[in-house]
Amino acid sequence: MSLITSSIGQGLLWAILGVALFLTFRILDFPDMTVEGTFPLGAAVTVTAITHGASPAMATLYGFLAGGVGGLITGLLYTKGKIPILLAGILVMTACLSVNLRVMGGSNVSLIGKTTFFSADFFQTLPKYFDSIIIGGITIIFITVLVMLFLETDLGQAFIVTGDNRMMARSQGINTDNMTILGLTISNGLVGLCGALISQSNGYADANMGIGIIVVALASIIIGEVVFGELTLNQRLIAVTLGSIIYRFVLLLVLQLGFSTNDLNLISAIILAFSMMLPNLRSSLHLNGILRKGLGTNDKQ
Amino acid sequence: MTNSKQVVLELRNVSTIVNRNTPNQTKILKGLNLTVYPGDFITVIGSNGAGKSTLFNTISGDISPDAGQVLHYGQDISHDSVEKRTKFLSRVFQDPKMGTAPRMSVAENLLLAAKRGKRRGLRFRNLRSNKEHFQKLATSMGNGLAQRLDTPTENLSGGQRQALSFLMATLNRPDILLLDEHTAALDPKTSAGLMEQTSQTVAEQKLTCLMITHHMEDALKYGNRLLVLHDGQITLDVRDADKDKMTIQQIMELFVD
Repeated sequence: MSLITSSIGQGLLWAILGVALFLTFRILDFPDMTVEGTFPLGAAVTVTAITHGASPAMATLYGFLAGGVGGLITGLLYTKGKIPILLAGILVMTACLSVNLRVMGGSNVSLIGKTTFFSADFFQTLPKYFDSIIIGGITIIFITVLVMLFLETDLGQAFIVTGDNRMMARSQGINTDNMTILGLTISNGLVGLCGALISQSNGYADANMGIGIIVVALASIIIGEVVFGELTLNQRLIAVTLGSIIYRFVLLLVLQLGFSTNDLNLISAIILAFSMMLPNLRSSLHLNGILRKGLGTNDKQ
Repeated sequence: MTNSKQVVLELRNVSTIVNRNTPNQTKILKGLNLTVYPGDFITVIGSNGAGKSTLFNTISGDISPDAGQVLHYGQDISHDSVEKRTKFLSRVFQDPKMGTAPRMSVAENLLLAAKRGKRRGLRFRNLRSNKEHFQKLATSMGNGLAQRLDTPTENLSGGQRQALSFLMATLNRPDILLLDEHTAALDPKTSAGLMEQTSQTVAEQKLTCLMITHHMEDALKYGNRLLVLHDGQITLDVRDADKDKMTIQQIMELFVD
């Protein structure tokens, strides 16, 4: 039972990363590698701020802002510096590795004995892992609603159309460079926020905690899409969170089968590759009926 | 010279160079002069490489002239960005895919166009309250667009997409409308339909319009003024009665040399 609550809690916390990447990967339509740097950056800044006496709320805000700055730099390199987006992301990600070590003053910092969101007295009265369900749940609902509202505004529409048809966006008077920078900044701000919360949940920040997380984020997006199929934009945003939880269950299953946590990155990559190939496999192997049956029964549980 | 205030658009001695500072450096427009008056509907023809697209790109801001000036109501806009010029200029491209956002619905595209060149802030877009208006507009195109307001534009036919692009370009009245072979990618019947619609809308709204076409018949049939571009310069500029007297034969002769 506690394994299941743990998976749901982790799924909700990591869903922030999925929604953040949805903004760039799905709406702006390019892969942003910056996240592997801004995620540990958000964690490093938050953990260091807490160990220096900042309140968890302020420390988390710093994590969000630090991530945003990382995204802003990628955006500037891409739009003003004309560096291809993949490389711009890798550059900032690589730079973050050094920055993170500077910020933390070492390769990891522990939060043992410090006040975090997760150490509140209230949570001690609840069963184990309910802290991450509550904090993750509130945060992801808040962010998802905020993103949905934003996308309904004139500015949000300009942001969407920038990813959909850049040429047309410009001919409607939309400054696509600014939209791209805006998207990367918000997205990486959310990535930093996710790093801030994950590090508090784990009780430490580690310089290597960003490795492979882009795959984790993409997996929640793709799993959501594969499982739920044709959806509206708002529904797709919610599907990211559900995809993130499903992904945690799959990991749980795999660990139960006897794999070790060292295998997680390999397994994540396999899950993502499989999910991305599934739509093609479906049509070529006529898996549709079989899958719908299988997923249908799982959904009802 | 006419008073520059009454001139919608003026190109003064405009030259453009491509592949600058390379062995392939070539001049496309060669000191081109053009004055566009309010209500002009100009058809532009010319052989491949004559500079028709470059002329349009210079007007729209995709290309900055290397020499000379582009003026809008007497104001120098030579180096203003594409985005800035959309305040008074709209354009329909040849490729139906270029003018619309594929994953967004017809109504969403129209709403984006209604705010062409305007500031876009954190105000809600109010798609629903605009639907009725869009429904009427789409009905005027008479090609089934009105029944597909909620359809993503990628699911429309090429003709519907191009009709939508045209509607979007005229929705928020532009000072200058650029039509870049906007019917060329369509089948003959659809093409003729959109051309009729174009002519009607331009007349009704008294739009100032430049249209590139490869159809000699269309170039003669529509508009009040005809330009022939050759080797980066305007070799023929006729209007009204003089234009009406022109025959396809005469135009073809201009192309031969």
